[in-house]
Amino acid sequence: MTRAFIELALLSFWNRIVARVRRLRDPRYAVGALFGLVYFGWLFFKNQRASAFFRSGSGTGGELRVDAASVFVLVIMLFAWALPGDSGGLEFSEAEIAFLFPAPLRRRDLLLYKIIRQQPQVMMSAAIFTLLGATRSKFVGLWLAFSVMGIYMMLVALGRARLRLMGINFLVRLAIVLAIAAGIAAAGVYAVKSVPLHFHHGDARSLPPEFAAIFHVPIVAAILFLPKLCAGAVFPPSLAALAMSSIALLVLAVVFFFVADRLNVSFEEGSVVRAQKRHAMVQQMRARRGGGYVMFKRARAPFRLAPTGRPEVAIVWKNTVATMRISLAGIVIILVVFAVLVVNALYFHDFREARNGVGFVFVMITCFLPFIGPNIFANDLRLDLPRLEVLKSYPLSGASIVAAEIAAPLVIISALELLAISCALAVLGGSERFSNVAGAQFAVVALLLTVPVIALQLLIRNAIPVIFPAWAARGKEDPRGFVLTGQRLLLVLGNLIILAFALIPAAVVFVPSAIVATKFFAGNTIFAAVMTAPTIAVICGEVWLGVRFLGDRFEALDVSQEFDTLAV
Amino acid sequence: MIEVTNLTKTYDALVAVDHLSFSVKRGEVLGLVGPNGAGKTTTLRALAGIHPPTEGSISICGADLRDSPVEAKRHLAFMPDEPRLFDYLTVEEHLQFVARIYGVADFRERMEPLLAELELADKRRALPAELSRGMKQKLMIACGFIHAADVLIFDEPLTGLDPLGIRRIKESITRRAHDGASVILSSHLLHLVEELCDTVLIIHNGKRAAYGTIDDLKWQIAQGRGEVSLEDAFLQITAAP
Repeated sequence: MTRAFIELALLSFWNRIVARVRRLRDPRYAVGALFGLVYFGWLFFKNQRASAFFRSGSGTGGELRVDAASVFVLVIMLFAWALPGDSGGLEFSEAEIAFLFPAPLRRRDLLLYKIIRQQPQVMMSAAIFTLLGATRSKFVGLWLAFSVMGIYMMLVALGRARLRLMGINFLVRLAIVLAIAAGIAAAGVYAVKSVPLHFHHGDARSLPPEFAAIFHVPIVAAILFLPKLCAGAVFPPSLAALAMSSIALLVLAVVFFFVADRLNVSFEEGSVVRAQKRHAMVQQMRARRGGGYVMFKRARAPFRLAPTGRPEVAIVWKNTVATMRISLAGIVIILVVFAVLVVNALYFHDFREARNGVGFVFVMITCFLPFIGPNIFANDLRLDLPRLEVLKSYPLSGASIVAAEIAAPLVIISALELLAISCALAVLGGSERFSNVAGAQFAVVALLLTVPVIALQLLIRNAIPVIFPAWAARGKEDPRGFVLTGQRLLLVLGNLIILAFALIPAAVVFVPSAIVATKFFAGNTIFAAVMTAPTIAVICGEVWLGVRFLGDRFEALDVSQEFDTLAV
Repeated sequence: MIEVTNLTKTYDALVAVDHLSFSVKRGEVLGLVGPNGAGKTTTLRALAGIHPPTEGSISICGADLRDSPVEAKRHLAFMPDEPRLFDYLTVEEHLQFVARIYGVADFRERMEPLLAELELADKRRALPAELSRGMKQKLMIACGFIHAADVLIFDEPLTGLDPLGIRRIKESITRRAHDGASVILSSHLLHLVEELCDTVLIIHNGKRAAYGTIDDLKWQIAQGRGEVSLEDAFLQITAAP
């Protein structure tokens, strides 16, 4: 049986690796993987150079690290008993439940299968930690420590269920765990008091050499005995120590396994419920990205939609409703931040510098909102990605759809921008130091300049599903690990490059208009307008061209070819 | 109302639809049938303007779908096999949204009977997540009906519906055809096609395998050897490689 389980675990792991490697034939995954590998390679070499402290495992520093890790493991081991779940449910996939639970297997076999099935992933994690080199840990030590902790967690899950059957409910368990934690803390205090520590004045950050002795006080050493076996394998001072820790951990694993088996808890029903919950959670996460997760179900539409008139308004209305029901929390958080800052400024009305500080924060928000806003409020084509088929069947031109889709987030972000500018103006009003930005003229020009930039940013973000739909579409299995990291890095980089290119013509126009404004309109009320109007016109022109271009691409987009793998 | 000439759709080396021609007159119901992967959904999506044909032309109520897509789409309603609804809009808001897209001035007057007809009246404030698969399908169909389109395109319209729902949708389709709409429906349920459709188009490997009235097709297959069903005719026509 064990051999069959090992074969199944290895085969499943191998097939998963093969599937991911095969997926690299698709350029979006290949390029993402390449970027991700380069990024993690850079991190790896950076760590190799920077983590000299962590690599030195012997000596007092090494011992202290083991002790600190032991405390960490102890906390996990103890508080695992305080978790609320007491159904005994273990994590099995739906396929495993369908095939293994009805099979003629003993509970012990299922527990053994679960441990074996975890091993490839545990080994991968251990390998990554070893490669990243942030510790002097050896692969075998990490693998064994992770595995033993996995078996321990399984034991605790079954133990909680056994306690429930014995009439010990969650609150009683929690009280017992807190009592034990208090006892351990008391032991720690006693140990600290029993060891005389001499702190050096002027160097409060460095620990006195006697500090390590606290962990050798008998009561502390006894409490940390089991956790230290794990921590000692992760940070072994020598190969001999690693071998000793490994043997101890193997014995511990066998003991934990047999105790878990002896608990004889019916975990099948709880495992089915757990698998269903996990499935529902994955579905919810996927739905969240496709606009399927509605936070405020009963939030009302912000304006009444008349049955006739320009059809584009329907799309704006739809996206505004989406904002109310999906992103309202984001708006509320921003408004609360603004309110706190304004109240703060009013409170400090007698302290000019403090007010200037708050005003400066608002100016910063004004500058960054056009770049952050389109990320927060993605209620546009990005939200409608799973429904492009429906959108394409509507009697609207591509340009109309693109313009209407970005209109709602544009209005919302622009309104927040206007609010930020108004707050900056109100707070900085009368300030001599910020006299340049505290005027109404500045506010009007800032708004006129930032709104087209917000539109430009929204266009760039919406260009991804239209021009590179394969990058935006999701396969049956989401990319993970370095492929996902690489894809995200590329998207951010691409966004920055396109934005930089788009702003070059505006910058080119700005230089002569600034010269003309300075030379002929200095001190005049229309100074700022003369300086920025050509730039605003250029960006507006770019947005118009962008909408036309994306509209044409949207009309030519072959939804079936690109989105058949949409898993939403 | 619908004129399809030499419709071809290819995906790289795969020819999904191969020079398909047919027409649907006013008040006619055409059944589109074929084995899995025959090209039915591709044909319907091309008719709805969702993906551009590689070759050929499609005319909806006199408007060419390639040259005047907005005008052509104004006359049609497409109801896909998988209901793709806006998760954040309620049932009523879906209808309101679609009504504005198509400029339905008497939307309120139309909505109430439609909700009653499709048994959605008590679900008007529900979000798609609160609806069953069959209810979602009905909502998708309601969105197609709200603007009284001249051309109705259904892809597997009865998936997930209960017996009463099936009867209601069948009656709705028949009534709209009697009122003058041109209907194309794709289905694997041959008894449904036999019951609802005037003409049938059987496609196989993207090509037109048979096209005509159901009685004509049966007669061709029977060849004077007694009574045959549409199912017998379909199996015989699509049996050839």
